[in-house]
Amino acid sequence: MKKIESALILCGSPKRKQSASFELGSYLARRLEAAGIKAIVRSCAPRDTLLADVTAADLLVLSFPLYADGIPARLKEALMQIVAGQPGPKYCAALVQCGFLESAQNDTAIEMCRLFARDAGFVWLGGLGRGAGGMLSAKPLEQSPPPMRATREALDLAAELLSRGEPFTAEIKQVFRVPPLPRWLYAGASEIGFLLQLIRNGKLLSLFRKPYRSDTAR
Amino acid sequence: MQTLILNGCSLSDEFAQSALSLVTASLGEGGDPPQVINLEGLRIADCNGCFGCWTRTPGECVIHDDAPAVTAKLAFADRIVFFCPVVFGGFDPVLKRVIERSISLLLPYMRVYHGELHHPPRYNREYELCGIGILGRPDPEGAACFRERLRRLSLNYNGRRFSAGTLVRGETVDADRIRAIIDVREEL
Repeated sequence: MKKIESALILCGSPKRKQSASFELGSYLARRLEAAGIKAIVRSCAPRDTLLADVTAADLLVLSFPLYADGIPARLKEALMQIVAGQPGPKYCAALVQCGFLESAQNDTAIEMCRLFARDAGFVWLGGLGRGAGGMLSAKPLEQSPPPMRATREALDLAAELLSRGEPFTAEIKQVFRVPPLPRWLYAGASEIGFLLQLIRNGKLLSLFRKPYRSDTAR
Repeated sequence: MQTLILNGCSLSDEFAQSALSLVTASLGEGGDPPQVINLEGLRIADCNGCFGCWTRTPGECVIHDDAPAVTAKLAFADRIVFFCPVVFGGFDPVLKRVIERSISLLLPYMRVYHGELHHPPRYNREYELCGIGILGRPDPEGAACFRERLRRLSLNYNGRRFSAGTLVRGETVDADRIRAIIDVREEL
């Protein structure tokens, strides 16, 4: 495999630049740039220039939110296009974050990314999964509060390894995945966030609404 | 027991449709015939991640296409069968999109379920999930991932048991082969 000189970070969030996944990828890109690697961050859609962008990169990093326990459908379609397009040998890695506290809930999606890399003929360097995605935002990670320090440090180390084409270590995976909050606090904060949105939308009393009936569903 | 089959395979895929006939027959033995929803040709957009189905129109997706009608059927199914090609060890994008658009079946807050945070069901129902995936070639890694995929989804859909198995395109499939998949109900 040739030395890594260019990287493409492919973001799978439908919110594109307004997403935490895009910012995680952008932070990694900034660190890769600091290591002398030309890095581009883009959404997985539209896909008209996707194959050309992937072909031009030595390293492909997938950054996406866990959707229904897996890779978002729109990103999966992009990955199928990449496999079919046979863009040549590359290194591949993934950053996955989920709204649950437990990082382990990302593990199946990371395995799917590994299988994508296998099918595409890429060298798999590993996946980093992070829980408590509700704490992440689209704001620059450099400006995020102290609880995000571990995330930044893990990505700093990840960029170093990726720039040399080396796989993620167990230590980095652990630093990235450590839940920064007790479960009760994270679940409570998440609940308050949704309740505030319901209040703002005048829908608090509709929280438990059941719009479908069994007789109309058959 | 109301069984719903979501068919993510192409209707022109002879191997898949032949296997689906066996699945339908096996699931219908001695009970209500399962309902099959063919996803091919339905107009279903990507989930846009807005959480509007939790905070703006609770219980209903804000996108008006064919997905809400499928979600309405999912809400009251006792057993849901996901039948589709296996892509990278998971569902194909057509079926995956339907699942993503159905999170209105869950409530926004989280509770501890099987030792992890998960969303409780909106309709206070237990779902039994079954996945039958079609592999393009023998792929033990893809098959193992597909099984784990079903277990994970069951955890998030208030499941109690699940079953999952794969067929390899071109293999001989009969009723016994199908029953070997759907009758093995693993506890979560």
